[in-house]
Amino acid sequence: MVSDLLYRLRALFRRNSVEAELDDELRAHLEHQVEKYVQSGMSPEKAERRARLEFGGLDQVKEECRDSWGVRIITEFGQDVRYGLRQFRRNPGFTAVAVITLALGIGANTAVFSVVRAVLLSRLPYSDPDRLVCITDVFPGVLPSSLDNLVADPDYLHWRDQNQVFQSVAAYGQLRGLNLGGKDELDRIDATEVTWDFFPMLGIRPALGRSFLPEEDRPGGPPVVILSHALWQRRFRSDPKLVGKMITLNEKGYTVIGIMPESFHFPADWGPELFVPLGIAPNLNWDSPSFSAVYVIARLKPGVKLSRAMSDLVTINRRSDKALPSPFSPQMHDKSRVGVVTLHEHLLGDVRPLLLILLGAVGFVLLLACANVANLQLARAATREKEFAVRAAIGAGRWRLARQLLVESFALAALGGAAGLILGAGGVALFRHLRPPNIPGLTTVGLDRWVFAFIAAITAFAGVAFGLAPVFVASGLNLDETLKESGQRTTTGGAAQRLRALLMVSEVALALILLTGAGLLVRSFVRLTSVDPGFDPQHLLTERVMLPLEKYPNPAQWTPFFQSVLDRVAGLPGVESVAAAESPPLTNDCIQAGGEVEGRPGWQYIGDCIISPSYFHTLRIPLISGRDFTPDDAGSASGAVIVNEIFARRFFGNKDPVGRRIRLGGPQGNWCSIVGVVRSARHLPLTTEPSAEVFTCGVFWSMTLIVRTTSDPASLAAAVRSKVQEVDPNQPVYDVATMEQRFSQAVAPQRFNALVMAIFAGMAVILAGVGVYGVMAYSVTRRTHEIGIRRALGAQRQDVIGLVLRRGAALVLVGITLGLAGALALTRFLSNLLYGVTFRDPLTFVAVSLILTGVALMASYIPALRATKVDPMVALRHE
Amino acid sequence: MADKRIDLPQGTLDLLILKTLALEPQHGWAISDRIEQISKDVLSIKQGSLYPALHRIERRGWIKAKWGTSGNNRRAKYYELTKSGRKQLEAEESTWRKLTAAVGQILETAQG
Repeated sequence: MVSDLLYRLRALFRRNSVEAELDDELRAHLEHQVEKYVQSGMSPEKAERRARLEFGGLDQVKEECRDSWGVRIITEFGQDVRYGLRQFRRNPGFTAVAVITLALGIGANTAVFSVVRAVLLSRLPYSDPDRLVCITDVFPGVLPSSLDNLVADPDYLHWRDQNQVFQSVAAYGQLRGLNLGGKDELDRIDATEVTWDFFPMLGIRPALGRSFLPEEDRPGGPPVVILSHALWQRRFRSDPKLVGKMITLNEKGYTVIGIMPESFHFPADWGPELFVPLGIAPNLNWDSPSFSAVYVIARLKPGVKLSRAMSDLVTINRRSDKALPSPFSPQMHDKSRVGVVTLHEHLLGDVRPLLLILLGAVGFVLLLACANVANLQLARAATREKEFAVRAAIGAGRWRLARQLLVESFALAALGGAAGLILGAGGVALFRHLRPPNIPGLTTVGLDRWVFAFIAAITAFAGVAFGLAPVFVASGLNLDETLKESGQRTTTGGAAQRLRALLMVSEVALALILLTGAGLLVRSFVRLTSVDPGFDPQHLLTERVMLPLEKYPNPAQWTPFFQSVLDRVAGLPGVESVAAAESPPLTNDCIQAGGEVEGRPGWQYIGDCIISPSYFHTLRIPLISGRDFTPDDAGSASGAVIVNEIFARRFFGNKDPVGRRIRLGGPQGNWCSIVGVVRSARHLPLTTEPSAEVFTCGVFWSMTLIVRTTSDPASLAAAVRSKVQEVDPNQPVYDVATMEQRFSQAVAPQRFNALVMAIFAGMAVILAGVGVYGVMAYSVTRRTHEIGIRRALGAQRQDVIGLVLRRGAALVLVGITLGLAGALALTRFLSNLLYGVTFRDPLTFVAVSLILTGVALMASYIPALRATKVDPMVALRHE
Repeated sequence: MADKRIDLPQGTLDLLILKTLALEPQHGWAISDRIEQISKDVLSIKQGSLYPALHRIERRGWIKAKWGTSGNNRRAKYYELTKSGRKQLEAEESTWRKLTAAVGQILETAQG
């Protein structure tokens, strides 16, 4: 009823005027009554007394009236809150510890949840993103990092033209660098080629200008380009008249036809900044002289399921394969399977497990924080037993007492939540600062209403979680006993003691699980950084040079260019030697090609890398047998190749492969003879084991210069660049980094994982240590009397320490055992993040158990020491 | 002095208040005075207990309050029956009549 509600609201919010009216009304009544008696001849004093007597207790009447207003529960709540806050002020130490503990738990959760919310739970910023899917060919047996997700052009065309399940099927190419009219690193812009329907399919229109037209997306189409907002801002000062103008890319003129909106990124915030038409020939097929590979994304027709799309594409594959078989063997390309995943899954599938693990970890931290505060509350409830007994004796019901305790817990939780919000904002800033390379979309992380709702929810959870403990104890209180007790000694029953022990055991167990996870990740990181890369990474500088094919169309032009660069760099003071390679070590740019080994039927996947003759010498990769390349091998038709040890072992076993032949580049390729074997080095990312590789001597249009220096390699960066530009003043040099920087980049994801997990585990260990300390210290206080008697009866110092430590150690061991069981069950979820250790790595399990046991025993030892200082006389007089 | 007046059965105070207000709007003291006069000192009602009942009935929306001036120029809070209060009065009155009739009948029969 509305009037009822309005009445109550008025009673609640216009309290003062409602109270004043009540006073007026009752006073008016008494005055009327007095007047009546005075008129009937009574003296005013007598009339007044009589009227009051007849009226009944004024305060009681008022109280009953207030009851009638129907807001008592709320006003009492206010009293509870005020009382609780007064309690907090009276115990600043307790309040501070509890609030800080909660703030840590809630803050860590806030930070991780903000990331989860921004990265995993938000929709992709394209129109109707749930219907966007990513389609891939299936290449079994290929290293997942190289050909992953690429689709051969003919497959794309077949799918685009014959499917019945998609509204549209668009494609885009691999990222490639284009030189934007300049010559330093900043001038190399990441670009990608897209089909004309790429932007319309995502539902994004350029902010300025227009999208590509179908007639621009064909071989030999007009040179047109669309820019990202960031590039337009950075390089063209947001020139509003840029659309329609020409810009120079790889020394060729392109017309700018559009600028994308600021919010547009694809596939993530590090996406390309330039878009040009892809221009696949419409009738391309398997018998065309050459074809390339693209990434394919598509928009499902409404209501079409992924499985249906998949079977439709497989049907198309079968049909087209019957009409014109592809040159790939089934081992290389499994045509009976097609990968169809949502774009969201494609972009974020790898991140999800990591973020969920982090969310689980901070969940544990929060549980630990709650257990700690519950412990504190229990200890405090014990010292407050008298207060409760008195309140109960003067009429407070059990429910009222319980409510008081719950209100205090919630107030505490709210304080912790507010502090946690601040810590969480700091945590988000830290996340952004660490800039984990494995988590996309971090720029959008922030505190939005979902995060606030989450904080409110976990704060309420925390309030209940630790609020119930003291209620549980207080409700078991025996009034008479407590009131009869004298002094501080309390009679908390066995239930409270068991609860305290249970909290301590679970704290140790939770901390152990987190510590194990962190231990495994840290060990993975250490293992990874101590991996032998197979070459000497000290004093190496790398710089990449990509020749624009528009200017250097002829491979015959590449050799002289790079040869003169190498000669000039070699002459620089401080340069020991210099080499060039198609892909620098520790990147995943090494091309996985098909090859044929003499005497072994069928095609094999082989890493194929073009290098200059001085490559092994410069990287200090030792030659195992045969000879190194000589300048005569370069670019000649001598057909000399060098293989790595893994290649040799895989294809030739124990026999010396020198003198045997292999054929690269398809059936038309030349047979080359193996002249040497080198030790295997890691060309792919560190986490990937070295694979079988073949090195050919020559140059490619894109090469990485590798310079071995006698001093700090970074100091030579500018000199090397100037030598390149002596050869061609317009040639940019990019991706300049020392090999040590590349190492650091290569292990950045693992470093991030280990660091974040170690932070959370550290918090957990501290919380558990404080928890153990709290329980043991309380138990010593409680047993002061007993210890005093023991001392009086002749117990020695070490007996007392032993007494306390034994109980502590027993509980800690139970906690460690439970924690180990939990860790064994949970660490399997870390498997994909580990390197070089199994998720059941015994060393880690033993080490973290020892660490945690040490911390817990230290935490019990301090109260044990204090127990030895108990003066028997004081303890006994205590009674 | 032993009080021979009887206590009011639970819930009947509301009915008496509503009935009193059905004649005209009144302030608290006048209501209590009138009930006292009419009941001819048979019913024992603590004057104070009137007010919680008044406030409860007001919250239910059966009466509404207005400040006015009483006969001897005192500010007083006047209560007035609302439409739903009138309905409530009718319902309670008929319930009361049925109840007393039934109880009366039982007492008669039992005596006979």
